[in-house]
Amino acid sequence: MQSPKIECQIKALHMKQMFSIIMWVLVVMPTCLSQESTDIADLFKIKCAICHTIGGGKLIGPDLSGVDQRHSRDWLVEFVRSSQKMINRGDPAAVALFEANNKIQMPDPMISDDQIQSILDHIEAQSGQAASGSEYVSILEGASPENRESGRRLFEGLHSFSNGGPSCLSCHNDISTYFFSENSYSNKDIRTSFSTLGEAGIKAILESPPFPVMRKAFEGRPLQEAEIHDLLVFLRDSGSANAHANPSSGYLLYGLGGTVLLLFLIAGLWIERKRTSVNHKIYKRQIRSAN
Amino acid sequence: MDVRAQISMVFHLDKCIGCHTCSIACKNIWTDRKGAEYQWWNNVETKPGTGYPTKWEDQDIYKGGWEKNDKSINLRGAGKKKSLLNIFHNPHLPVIDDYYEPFTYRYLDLIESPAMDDQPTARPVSLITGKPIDIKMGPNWDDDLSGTPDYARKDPNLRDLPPAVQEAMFQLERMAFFYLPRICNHCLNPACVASCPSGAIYKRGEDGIVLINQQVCRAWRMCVTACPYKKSYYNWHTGKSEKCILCYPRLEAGYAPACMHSCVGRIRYLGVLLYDADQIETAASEDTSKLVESQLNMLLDPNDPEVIKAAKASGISDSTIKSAQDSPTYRFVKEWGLALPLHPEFRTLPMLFYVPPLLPVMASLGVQDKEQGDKLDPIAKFWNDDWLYDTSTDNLWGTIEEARFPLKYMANLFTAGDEEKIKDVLKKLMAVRIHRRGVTVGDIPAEKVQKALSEAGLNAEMADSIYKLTSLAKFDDRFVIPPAHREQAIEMLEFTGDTKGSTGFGFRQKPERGL
Repeated sequence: MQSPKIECQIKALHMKQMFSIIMWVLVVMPTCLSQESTDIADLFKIKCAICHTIGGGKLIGPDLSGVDQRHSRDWLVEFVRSSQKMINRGDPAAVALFEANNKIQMPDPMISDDQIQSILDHIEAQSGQAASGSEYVSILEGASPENRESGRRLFEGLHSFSNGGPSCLSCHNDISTYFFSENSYSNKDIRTSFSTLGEAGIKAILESPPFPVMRKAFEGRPLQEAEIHDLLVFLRDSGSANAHANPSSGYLLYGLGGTVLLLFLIAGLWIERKRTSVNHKIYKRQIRSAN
Repeated sequence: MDVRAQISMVFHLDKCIGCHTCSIACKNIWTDRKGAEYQWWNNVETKPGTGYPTKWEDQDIYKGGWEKNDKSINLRGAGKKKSLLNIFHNPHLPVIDDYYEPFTYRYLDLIESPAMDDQPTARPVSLITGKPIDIKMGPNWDDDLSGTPDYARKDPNLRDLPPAVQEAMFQLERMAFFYLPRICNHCLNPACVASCPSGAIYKRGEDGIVLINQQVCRAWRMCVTACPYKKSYYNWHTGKSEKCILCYPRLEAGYAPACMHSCVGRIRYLGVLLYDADQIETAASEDTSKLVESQLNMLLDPNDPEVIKAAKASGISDSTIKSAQDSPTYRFVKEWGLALPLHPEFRTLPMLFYVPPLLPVMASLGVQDKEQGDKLDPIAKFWNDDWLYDTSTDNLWGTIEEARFPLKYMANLFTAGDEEKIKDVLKKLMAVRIHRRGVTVGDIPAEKVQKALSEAGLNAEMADSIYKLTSLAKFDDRFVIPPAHREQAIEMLEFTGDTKGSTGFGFRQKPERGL
């Protein structure tokens, strides 16, 4: 007969094995599968199509149609791998691109060089065809003030997104009240975003965020069509209104004024305080006479 | 009637010689520690004088004690609202210079100094910083009227005396002073207890000793401000406030507190008083003129069967009631009406009472006895001035009314300004002296003695007992300490049967046979 102690140990062993199997299924399997099953066209959709089109015009980044003619293949591979490194190194073409595209850095796609080559091949093949997408048509026609208000509430988190994504204010400046904008998590000042990126760019970002943190935040919790619409209205209207307000102009004055007020308050409250030792005068006189 | 017991004290100021032995005894036992060097739980002050800390009696500076409002009283410098407002900076707190910077001398320099042309000196060093300092002040810097312009003349009790009277007090050869030893009064209405935001200060139920729980104290120092007698001190080293504990470990063992035990002049008396706790608020809220009376009315007669019954109902043990019946303080304060509280106008109902000094009064005046002088040998020294004791003036109380020491000053100290009350006490003291002079010297006619006694509200028997307790009292007459009954207190907390058999004779190792 087994003692209960040994039985326990056996059970524990089973548990351990089971656990490792489950972990393998959960972690290792999907990565293998995803690697094998990724098609280049899909990869382009996931990694590039958020900001770029092939012959469909500029979104956030430039139209990639005929990009092979503009740059060499080696340069392109390196740029895609890590554009930031090239810009930091001072590569003139890379810097020029960075400047030309509102100084928005292209996030590293985190894919292998082979995959980059395949994507570049894919772009080359597609470039020959006529513009696949039609011109972007604004969806903001006929937007009402209610839409704007709804957008504000979504931005500030007063209404949560229906799929549970975090409100914009979690990371970005509140663009309607700019007083505490210094405290935002993201350094990106999005007050001018609408005017620089345009409706199409912002819409693309909102539909499928390219920035790593933002992508992670909205992974599996995409914004709804109506929500994007309202947010766009809000960003268009209020962003342009406050675009040039200086967020930190009041700070110093408020601080100084508050300090002076506080000092007066303290001086007033404790006006009857005991200021010196009762022996102060005696000591002073004695020391003077001693000298 | 909510009867409670209070260990109270009487200091007989006529007997105090200002030797500071009490202060030293206390310092050696309790405050000879880092952070407590400046603290004198017992100190002896010269009056007139500014005392320690300087001008402690001036509540315009320190905001201690209670003040009367419409119905009741509230703390002058502390309390809920004021404490909250000043919780991070207490604006009326005494600073170290109000006390004095404690110092010692580098005595080792005297021994270790190399051979030189001059003698080595021991430099004074601060006990706080450890660095050499110039000593500016000590705990009794105004002792014996030293530095009078700075100290004695600025005595807060002189405030409502006419300038001429003040001037007369400090004329050469007319000057007089007396000593005022002070410890914590263990008040019935303690301002320190009321002011503590942490609730660290409490008044012991069994004997009324006011203590600061060092575990609970959070160094708000509101008690330092609130105590009008400035008898709560902040220890900068431990970060806790401390005060006189009336040597409760000694009391519990049946010994008198160190200051009282060591008193050279035997001025101190200690005993239990029974009081009615229901009257505390009304007594403390009385008009200033009635404060002394209302405080004395709270004290109950321990021989009254009603009081004894109520005391037993409150859980006061028979031995404590017996101590209250034998209490010397009850006799001084209630029976004889000789002792008065110090500064009753602070409304804390102090339980340390003072018999005011008669000495300056007695020595104030006297008519030169020409007949006596003529009888002396021509070469004998004949005191031509008029300072000799003379209690046989034609006008019985003349020496009191024309006192060298203004009655108003005494009244400011002990009766909140009521001169009549202080005069009553001084008359009693003087009547006892007249009576005893009649008994021992026999030069005062019996009817004059009788007149003096009856006018003072005494009789010969009372005068004799006052004389005995004042002049001849032995240790056990002066200190009637109630048994602390610690065994009862311990039994309330633990069961003694638990440890029965756990100590004593036994085996550390098991014997081979037996057990």
